[in-house]
Amino acid sequence: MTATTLHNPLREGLRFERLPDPCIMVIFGASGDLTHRKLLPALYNLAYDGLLPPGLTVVGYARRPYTDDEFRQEMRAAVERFSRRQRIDPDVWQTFAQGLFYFSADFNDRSAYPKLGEELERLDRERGTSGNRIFYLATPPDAYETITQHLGESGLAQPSQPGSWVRLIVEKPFGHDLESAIALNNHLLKYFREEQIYRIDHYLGKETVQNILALRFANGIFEPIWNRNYIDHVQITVAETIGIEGRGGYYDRAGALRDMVQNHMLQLLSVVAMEPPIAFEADPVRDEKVKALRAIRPIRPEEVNEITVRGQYGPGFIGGRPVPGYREEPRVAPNSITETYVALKLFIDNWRWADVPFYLRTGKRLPRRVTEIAIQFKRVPHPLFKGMMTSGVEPNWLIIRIQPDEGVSLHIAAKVPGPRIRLRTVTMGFLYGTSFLVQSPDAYERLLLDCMLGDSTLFTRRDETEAAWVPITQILRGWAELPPPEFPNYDAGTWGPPEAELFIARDGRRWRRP
Amino acid sequence: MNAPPAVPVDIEAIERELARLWQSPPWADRRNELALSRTSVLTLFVYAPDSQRAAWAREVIGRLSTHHPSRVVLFLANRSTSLEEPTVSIQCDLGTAGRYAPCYEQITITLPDEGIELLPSLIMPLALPDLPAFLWWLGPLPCHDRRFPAVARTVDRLIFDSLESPHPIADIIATRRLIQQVARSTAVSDLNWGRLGPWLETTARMFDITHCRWALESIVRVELRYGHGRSNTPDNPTQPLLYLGWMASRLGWRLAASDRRDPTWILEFTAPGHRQLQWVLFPESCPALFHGQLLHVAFTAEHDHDAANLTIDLTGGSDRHATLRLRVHDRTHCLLEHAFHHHLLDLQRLLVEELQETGPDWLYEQALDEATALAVELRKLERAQRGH
Repeated sequence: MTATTLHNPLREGLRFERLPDPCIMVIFGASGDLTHRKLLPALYNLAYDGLLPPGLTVVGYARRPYTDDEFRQEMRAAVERFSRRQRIDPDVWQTFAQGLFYFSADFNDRSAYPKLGEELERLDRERGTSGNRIFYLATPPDAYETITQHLGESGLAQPSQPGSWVRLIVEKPFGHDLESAIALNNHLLKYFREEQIYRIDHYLGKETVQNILALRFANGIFEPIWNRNYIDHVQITVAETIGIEGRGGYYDRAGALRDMVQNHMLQLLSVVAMEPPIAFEADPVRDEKVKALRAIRPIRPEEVNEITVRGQYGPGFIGGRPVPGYREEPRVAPNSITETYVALKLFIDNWRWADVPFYLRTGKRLPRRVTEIAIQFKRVPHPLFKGMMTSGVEPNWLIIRIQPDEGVSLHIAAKVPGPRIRLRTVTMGFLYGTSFLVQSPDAYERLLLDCMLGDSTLFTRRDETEAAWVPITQILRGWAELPPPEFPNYDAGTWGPPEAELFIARDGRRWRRP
Repeated sequence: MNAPPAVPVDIEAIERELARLWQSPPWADRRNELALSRTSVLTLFVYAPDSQRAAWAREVIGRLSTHHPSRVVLFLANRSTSLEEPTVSIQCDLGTAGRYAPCYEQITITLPDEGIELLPSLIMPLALPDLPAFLWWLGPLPCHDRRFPAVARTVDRLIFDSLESPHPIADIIATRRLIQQVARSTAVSDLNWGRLGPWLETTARMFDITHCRWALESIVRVELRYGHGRSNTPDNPTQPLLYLGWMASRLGWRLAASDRRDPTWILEFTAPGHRQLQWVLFPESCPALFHGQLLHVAFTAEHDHDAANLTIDLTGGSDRHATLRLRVHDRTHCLLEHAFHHHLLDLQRLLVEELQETGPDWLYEQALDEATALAVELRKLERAQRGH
């Protein structure tokens, strides 16, 4: 059976004027954590909400010798455990599970790929997927090159039928420094065209991150003051209470700078700092993000110590519970010098942001799980109300909270009622969930659906990835030239090393308490 | 017509009392672990014709409270001669809150039973400025009442439920007239149309795929079953007629003939190209929850040697767990099977979706236009049948 979408007069005016084409998603690394925790729950939730096309087919590719039924059972257990739905709808699951298949093979086995191709063609005939494919690399990054090479050499990387499409989703990390990122991109581009490659950074699938664009470009009041004339500085915080959760092997090689700053935090920075795109479409949006990343002031290795602070947690308490130090975590070297905390200061050298510092900090085992962008506006030019504040003269803050309690708040000074002139800071808040009356979909749901629809706006382009590696690689080089840090230097459950406070205090500023 | 008794409602006193409550919330979390969040996105006016429906409305509003609009004004019609003083309260959901507890204002005003024309004078001053105002009308919509358009015009969106209609066919015609009367100021939405959303989506989805696409121009017969689950209530074919109206408006079908073989309606249509097709609508016994709901639609398509049956069934037994299941068969085997959750039987979800829209729904209005033409025809048949 063939299945290509034609104009359908019944679709006009419906909630979704366009649904994805039926397709097969091949997940490499189907027995892994990402598939269980995120991908299958996201696909099931999309099916539950009626957002998947009939015939959507998932082929799990991994070494374990499962049958299709065993794979379905395992995926059902994963969905039951990790889906945001409270319970599985048996009817929805039954038809969804009919589209789940398993292909057992080693990623390195070249001979498996032609067989995979035959299996996909069989499924095309049975399920009407018309040669449309998504290959999802949910494997450790060291398998990316092998898999894509075999896909390319077996002819699976290009469409097999007129009108069909093939897409590749690549999970982070995209390399471990600029050179390896360029090498990986060059390798991918031997077999896939750039428009086929969807580099996923799940932060961009979060509603509030997309709302930054709405906040900036759909409101007349913000854009005129969104520049160096009115903004004193920007703080971006990604704080986690968790440790490394069994990922010691990976994390001890990566560290906070690669794991969090290079991707998530620089993505947040780019959407805050970018110029207005000419259209809300994939390339215009990404063009502007790349420009912002490229405008980050070049970092010289000798100045790294001045613009960064590294930390590593020791034992401490989280929520009243004792937790071990980083060096006591499984699969972490007992003398590890990997950073679990990093704070840094970046400048964006362009007309809009000249001399406005962007302070970024992220850490594990911090007291509260929070991700936020805080924009501090300049103080009023003349302290008219000096001495009349109840707790110091606070400049205005605009806080964009990404998790938890997604929303936006503006901190302003207001007069305390009474005969005297006394001011205090009050908060005008907008909470996403309470205002829009709906539960936000998981970021993976949004991104998987976008990929099926061929919309790459929320995925990172090659030049964006590489531009984000430039400052990070310079910092890594600078750190490599410095003596090893004295770790651990902060207790689990605190806001990071004391040096981080001194670091920002040198500029006459302080970290917000999120 | 006699003037209704006056209802002395001191709007300023209500506002003062609310301001006082916000200033010193007696329910504030004293441990200071929760921030009480006052979010303003709209004003929701609710009209309940009796205390039973008012209690039910309060329950629904309470369930919505974690993501609720900032002000709710509940008008309760009271048949007794003594009217109660308005009450005001602020409700916060501390139970499900994380760091923020969403709060909303609730004002309850009792009205005399015939107090419909008092409503504009109460709605207009109580609506929050610059935010959309919604009126959720519980019970039968007084769409035949000449005073009602003035009420509808005071809000941005009027929400009603044609499942509550005591005279469904006549009310379809009157509803369309009402929409035309208030079109410049107010959008009108029918929760019963909202419930059809997943049916429309599923129907469109069947014909998205090429090998089913031919069937759209080759439909020869459609069998449609809808629920009859309330013994003391007449059939309510509004949902089937809106569904049929939607298809007719999208595909350019024209009614050619109709017949009534109680309890079945038989409607003959002419499609573009002078093709004939037949719709058969009949009610089926069901639990009360599914009264008036589409239960089953089966399309039969024939073209040369091709034939296909495309069916959609509603399965499941509760408002929160119903599923739409789509199957496509050719002459020999099943080509396609697909299912997804039908969440819009859940009134809370349905209202949430309605409260996100402020503009008119042109798809509904076009479907209603066609449904009205059908209703006119069916009313003639009913009258003819009664004449015999």
